Amino acid sequence: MMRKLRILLWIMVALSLAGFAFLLLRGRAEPSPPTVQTSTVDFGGPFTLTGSDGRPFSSQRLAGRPHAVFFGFTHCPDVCPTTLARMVKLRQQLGSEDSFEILFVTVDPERDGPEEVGKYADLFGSPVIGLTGSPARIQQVQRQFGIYSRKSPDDQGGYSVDHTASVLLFGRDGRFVATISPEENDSVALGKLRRIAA
Amino acid sequence: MTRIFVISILFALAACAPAGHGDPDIAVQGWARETAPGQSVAAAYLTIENSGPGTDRLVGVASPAAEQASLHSTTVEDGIARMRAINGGLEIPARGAAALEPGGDHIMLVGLRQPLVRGSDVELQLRFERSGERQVAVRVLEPGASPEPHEGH
Repeated sequence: MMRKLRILLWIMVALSLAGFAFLLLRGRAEPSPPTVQTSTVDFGGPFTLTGSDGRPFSSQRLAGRPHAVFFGFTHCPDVCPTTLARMVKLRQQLGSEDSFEILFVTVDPERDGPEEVGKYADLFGSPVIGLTGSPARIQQVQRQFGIYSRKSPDDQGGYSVDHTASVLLFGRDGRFVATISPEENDSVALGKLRRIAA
Repeated sequence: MTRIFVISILFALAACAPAGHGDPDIAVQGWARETAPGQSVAAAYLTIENSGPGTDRLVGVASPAAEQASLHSTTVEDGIARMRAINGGLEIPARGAAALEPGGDHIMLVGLRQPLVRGSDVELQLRFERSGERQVAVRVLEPGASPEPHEGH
């Protein structure tokens, strides 16, 4: 009787071990499927940032206006002014300051407040809209526009910001049309700008 | 007698040594980019011509207009713009030139003492490995400037 009970107990131990092992292996064999986030929001899309006057700037202000959006930062003395000056020059070649808006959005909101982006945007002798925002808001807008940025410490105790070099072009309806990269020549870029400004 | 002959041959060979062993002859011109009020960094661009038979190297920069000055390089790779310090200086080839231009190599001025105003001059102190110290005053131009001092060459 005692012996039977002991065998029964051992069988129960073996079964529970087997069950435990089964659950463990099954858990490994069937990992939960990776979650895929889908979004119905258009590339770009509506945003609210802060203008150089310190007041909210809503993308609704761009309704019906073609626009070129460049993400940079004011501690960028080389590629950012080069790009913005080029956009201003191309706009002049199209013949009118009204042909499209030029937006400069900082990827360095910690250092670039409304005043900084505003004065920087004023350097180009032609209207450029300088925008900033809270770091969280800027990050969100960067995600919307597919913009990469990453701080890179320099040897002088400061930092530079690596960032997407291209300018994004949007049509009158606010829809993304094309990009302009620093490598492509002016005639290709002008062709794209004519398309959004048409 | 033979020894003297050999020595004189060696001297003669030294005199017509290949490029890189003669003296460099450096001439510098450049410009700086206007900055916004409050902006603490600026870029200056140079064309360094070397008409001599020896190579040289730009190894240091300083400016009374800024707390710090250094050689920087911008690259655009895979669509990402990056700016980094140039380590080890910049070679100025014999009978050649080095161009520091927008979107590439430049002198980065950090901690501007005052904004760079269009039309004014900025003093730069350049230190070359072989030609020593050079002072050059560069004109401040509008942000979109792209002077081409090489035209006609």
